[in-house]
Parts: sequence; structure tokens; C-alpha cells
Amino acid sequence: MNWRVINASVRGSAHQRSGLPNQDAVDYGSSQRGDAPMTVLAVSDGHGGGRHFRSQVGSTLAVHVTVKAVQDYLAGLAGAECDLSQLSQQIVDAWVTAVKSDLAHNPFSEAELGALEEAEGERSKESVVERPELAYGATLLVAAVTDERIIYLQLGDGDILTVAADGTTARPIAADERLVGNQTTSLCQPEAWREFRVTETATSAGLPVLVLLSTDGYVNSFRSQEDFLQIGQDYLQILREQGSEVLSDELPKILAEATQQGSGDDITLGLLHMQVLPAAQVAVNGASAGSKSKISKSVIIRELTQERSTQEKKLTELETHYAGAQKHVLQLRLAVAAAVLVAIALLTQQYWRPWISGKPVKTPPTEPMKRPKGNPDVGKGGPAGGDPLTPPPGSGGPDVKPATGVPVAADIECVMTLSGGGELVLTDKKPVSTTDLGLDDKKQPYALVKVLSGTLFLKNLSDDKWTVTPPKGGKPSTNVKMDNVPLRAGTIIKFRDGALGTVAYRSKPSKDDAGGTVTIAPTE
Amino acid sequence: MAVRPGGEYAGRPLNIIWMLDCSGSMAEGGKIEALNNAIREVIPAMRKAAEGNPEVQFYVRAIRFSSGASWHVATPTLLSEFKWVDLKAEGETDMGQAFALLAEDFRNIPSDTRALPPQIVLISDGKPTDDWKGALQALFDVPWGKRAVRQAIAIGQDADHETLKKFIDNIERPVLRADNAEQLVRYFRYVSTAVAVAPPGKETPPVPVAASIDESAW
Repeated sequence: MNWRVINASVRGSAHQRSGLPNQDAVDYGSSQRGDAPMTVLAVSDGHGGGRHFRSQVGSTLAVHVTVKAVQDYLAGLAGAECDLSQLSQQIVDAWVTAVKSDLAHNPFSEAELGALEEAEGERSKESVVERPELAYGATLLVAAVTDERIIYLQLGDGDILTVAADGTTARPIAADERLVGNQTTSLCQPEAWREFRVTETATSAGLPVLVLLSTDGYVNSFRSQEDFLQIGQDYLQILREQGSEVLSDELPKILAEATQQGSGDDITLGLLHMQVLPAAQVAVNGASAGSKSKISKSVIIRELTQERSTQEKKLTELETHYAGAQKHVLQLRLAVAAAVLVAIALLTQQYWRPWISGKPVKTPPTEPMKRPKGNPDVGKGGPAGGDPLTPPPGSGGPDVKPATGVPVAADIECVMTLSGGGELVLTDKKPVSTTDLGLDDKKQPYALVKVLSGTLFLKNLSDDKWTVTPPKGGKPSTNVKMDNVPLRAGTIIKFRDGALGTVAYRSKPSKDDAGGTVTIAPTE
Repeated sequence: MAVRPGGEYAGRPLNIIWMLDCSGSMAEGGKIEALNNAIREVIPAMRKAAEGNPEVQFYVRAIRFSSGASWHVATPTLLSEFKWVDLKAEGETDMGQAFALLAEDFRNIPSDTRALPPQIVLISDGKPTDDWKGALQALFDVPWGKRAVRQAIAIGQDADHETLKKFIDNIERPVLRADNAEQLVRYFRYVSTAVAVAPPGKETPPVPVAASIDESAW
């Protein structure tokens, strides 16, 4: 079963007025390890309040380490029983390690501690010096789905909702009644793993079609719990009727309106949904018309099975069609090449012979590209792959740039040339700080390089609005926190006034065939 | 997009409760008049401060205590619609009964409320005349009583600072002592506008520098 993630995170309207950053964070990962496909989604809410002055970093670290920890844990189970308490402990350990690492690189400044003392007194400052994790305090919500199970973990406030195919919305984890009036448990408290609330459902017991993870800024924007729980059925309806791309585009606007008219707090929402959603459209339309209770499970299952069978049939047809089309294209190319060669031969014979003084005629490379070495599969099927008009491997020189959508070999690296001088090599999972970019303030992490669906991206972790100009003079777009910029050759990212980076690809200085391959392609 | 997910949006409620001493001693030295005036003066300032937080719905209520305790303003009233009816002073200082009345009220608030922690402002000029300790503990035993932002203003030198300190139960939040009408307005304005500017959970502005107590009247 394939699952997809849609997410958005918006800065609270009250935070905008007071100058506080968006302290929420969201991350997810889909992976295929052996026979275990899985999708993990994590959402975190950095605490407000003076003592938690680095909670923005704390929440960002939380979602990154959690996605990895959950993936590692589930992949390593190999049929063993899932111990969510052990997983909780591993997540907390990974977060504390990440916080300590951040602190080692960026110790508390006099300004940070001075501002805290002024706002909340000496005791508050001492508590943070004694226990630095406090500065990074954040909550955590996790959902992860594999072929065998779906797991949920929650620490602190926020909401996890599951939505069934008939729109029924439920909470897999009961509310923590101790948490009233802005109170929350946190990653920064001692033995935080003991405070995790967890649950697991086997896929054989039936799965929801949609899981929603939201920070408390969302529930607090609604007049009542009933008004909030309505979102389950509504998001399901939007996904079925308008599709995930429309929702993905609209989600930031929906959440921005919620914070303005509701809580004023940061809002982050992550949706984990089955890709087969449109199948049950008939059933749910019937449900929303008032006959929800009359739709039996068997009807929905039958609809889904039929739809799956139809989709598989269509897929087989498309594959057959595609194979035929490729054959035709090859035949056509050969015919055109032959015709061109004949024409050239004729022209040369009739007119060119007297003008050529023994120099060979070269065909200029239209899309120069570095060919892979030692990996015969890379490059196959790309626009230039196997084309007789493209120059042979290596003829494009050391600074060749791949075109958008072309696979790049392991011996090519992505570099960003900085307007302030210098360059930055961008590799998967590399955190980028303001210092790396030559900016004068110290914010870590400012951005993160990551590979999503085989594509290299730069994720904006800051509150800066980047202006991204795509290659070949495309229309610039604005990139805000948590957005991903696809790193195509020629892309120019303006981080701030006067601070620009230009993306390029080149051969690695030393040959290293151990790495994987990345594909430079447009974002999903 | 045709559907806006979810039901109705609304700002978060924040309840402000004034717990006011109306014992006989408040009739001396014009203290009760000064308190009534301070409240009238502070309401517009609170409204102005609240404009900076349009996502919060501020509700005000008031408890009076003298011989017994009762709600002076029982219905949570939106700050924008709040009107003050003057208090009169007579009788004992049954502060404990005021704590018990509020504890009972808080006990009925559903646990899944999305309201912000309430603010309680206790203003008194004397020593409690009833069993206040048990009642205060009862207030602390209710989640909303414990979570509330509790502040206290002592009027004059006869006020029982120790009791007020125990009510606040936070050494970083001092008892504010008002020795004249001007200081009462100043401190009452401070505690009232501070919560409107920065609702609980966010940073609060520092306590204002105390005015000179040379002009002590109480």
C-alpha cells in the first residue's frame, strides 16, 4: 500500500506581531529497506516562553532525528515484536545527542542568557544553564506505517487523528488530562521517554485512509472539539474530490487563515494518506449526503478492490503502449539519422568539397553532460541517453552541467557558488549554517540538504524568505520555512539581500564510486 | 477551495478574575473609593492593551469578600462590554470563602477546554478572618487554580503579606504594595494590562519600578 505525505507549517499571527519565529517543524521520509516499505511523519512544536529560547532549533532537530530513528528501528525489527517504549527511548536519546551537538557548536551567548534573566529572572537563567535541553524544549507527534503495522507516538500537546474510509474521525491516543492551559510534557524533561503515549495497530486489523498530525495551534483555533474533529472528514473529501496537489497548494493558506482567526499560534499539519483514496469517492459522497451509517465496510472494500483491479489493468495497458511507443521513437530516430547522413553526403559531394580545407566538421554538444562511470544503468532512459548525436563520455569537459531531469553519476557533485566568495559542496543530509553562507549572524541549522524521491533539495529551516530563480531565466518564486528548493544546475537562490548562491554540478575532485546517484528533477 | 476544513474558528478565551476585599477596614481612608476608581480607570487601558492580541477573548469576573464571599460579576463578560458597578465596604475579611467559591467554580470547567490559564488578582488590606488555608489548598488542588496566574496587591501596611505570598506561591512574582491611590492605580494597571499584552505562556513585561512611598496614605 502506498502512502503519501502532505504538510505545511505557518508562523502564528501573534508570533508575527511579536517577532517570534515559527517554532514548529515537520519532516517525513519514505523508504524501502529490503521488503519493508515504510513512511514516517513527524511533527514538533517548540515551546514558547523565555526559557525555551532555542525551541525552534529543538523542534527541527526533533523531527529530523525522529524520522531516522523510526526508520532504523522498524527496518531492524525483522519480524520481532515492536517495543514502542524502546523506540521512544531511542528517539529521546537521539534528540539529546543532537541538542548537545548543536550546543557544542553554538554555546549560549551572553545576549541569550541576558535576555532570559531580564524577562524571567535569575532562577530561570540558572535552570537553563544547569539543564541546557530546556532551551530546546519541544513536543513530538509521530505516525509511521509499514506493510505490517501503523504506529503512533505522542509526547506533549498536539493532536493525532485517524480518518476511516467512511469519514469517521478518531483519536488513536487518548488525551492527557494533565495538560490544561498551555501545559505540556516535553522532550526537554528528565526521562522524557516515560511520558510518551504510544499505540500500534496491525494492518490486518484495518487501517485508516488518512492520518492527521497537528500542533496545538490548530485545535486551539476552533470554537470547540467538535469543530476541530470535523477536519478529518473535510480533508478526506478535499483529497478525494480535488486531489493531493490542490490540497498541497492550498494548505498553507488554510492554516494561515486558521491562526489569524483562531489561536494566533504557529500551526503545523502533516497528512499521511493512502494513495488509493479516490477509489472510495462514491461511497463517501453517499456518506456526506447523510447515509454514512448505511455504507457497509464490504461495499467500500468491494469498491476499492474493483478500483485496484481497474488501475492495474490500465497500468499494464500503459506499459505495453509505452514499450510500443519507444520502439517507434527508435525507428524514427534511425530513419531521421539516416536521412540526415544521406543529405549531408549529397550536399558535401555537390557543394562543400571545394570549401573544406581538410578540417573535420564537429557537431556542437547541445546539452553537455557528464556520463556515469562504472554504473551502466545510470543515464539510461534520460533524454540524452543512447542518443547518437550526443558527444561521448567525458567530452563535455570537467565543468559540465546536467540538464533538469537527467540522472547524474556518483562522481559528480553539487556545488553552490556564493556571491560573497567561496563555494559550498552540497551533499545529502548536510546541514547548512548561516556561517557557511557567509551571513553575519549565527543560526544553526539554517538549511538542510536532502534527497527526496531521488532528487536533491535544499530545505529552508530559517525564517528568511528566499527568492529562487530557476535555470534559464525562469520566473522567480519565494521559498519560505520548510519549503524545499530543487537543486537544479543554474538555479540561483537569494537568501538575503546581497547573499546569493548559484547551483552547479561538476566532477568530484577525487574519484569515488561508492556513493549513490542523485537525479536532478523538478519537485513533486 | 470549496471546503474550508473544520467548523468555526474562534480566539482562545482568557478569564480574568478579580478577588476584592470589601471588609469594613476598606471604608477607612478612602480605600474602597480608590479601588472603584482604579478599576474604572484601568478598564480602558486593558481594552487598549488587548487590541494587540486579537486572537484572545478576554473575559472579566469579580468576587467580593467581606462577611462571606459572593460573585460581584458572576457572568464572564467580554472586556469590550464590561461595565463596573461600585463596591461598598463593610464586615469581616472572609478571604477563605472567596478561595472556596472560586475553587468550586474552577472544578466545573471541562478538562478539554482550550482556554488560556486564567488570571486571578487578589486585592486586600487586612488579615483573613476565616480559615483560609484549607480553602487555598482546595483552590490549588483544582487544575485551573494551580495553573492560574495569581497576583496580589496589598493595600497599606496592615495587609497580610504572608497570606498574599502563599496565594501567589511564586517567589518571582512579588506582592505589590500600594500605599496610596496613585500606587493602587499604577499596580492594578500593571497586572491588568500585562496579561492583556502578553497572555500566559509568553514572556511578561518586567515589574514597574515602585513609586516613592513618601506619600503613604494607608
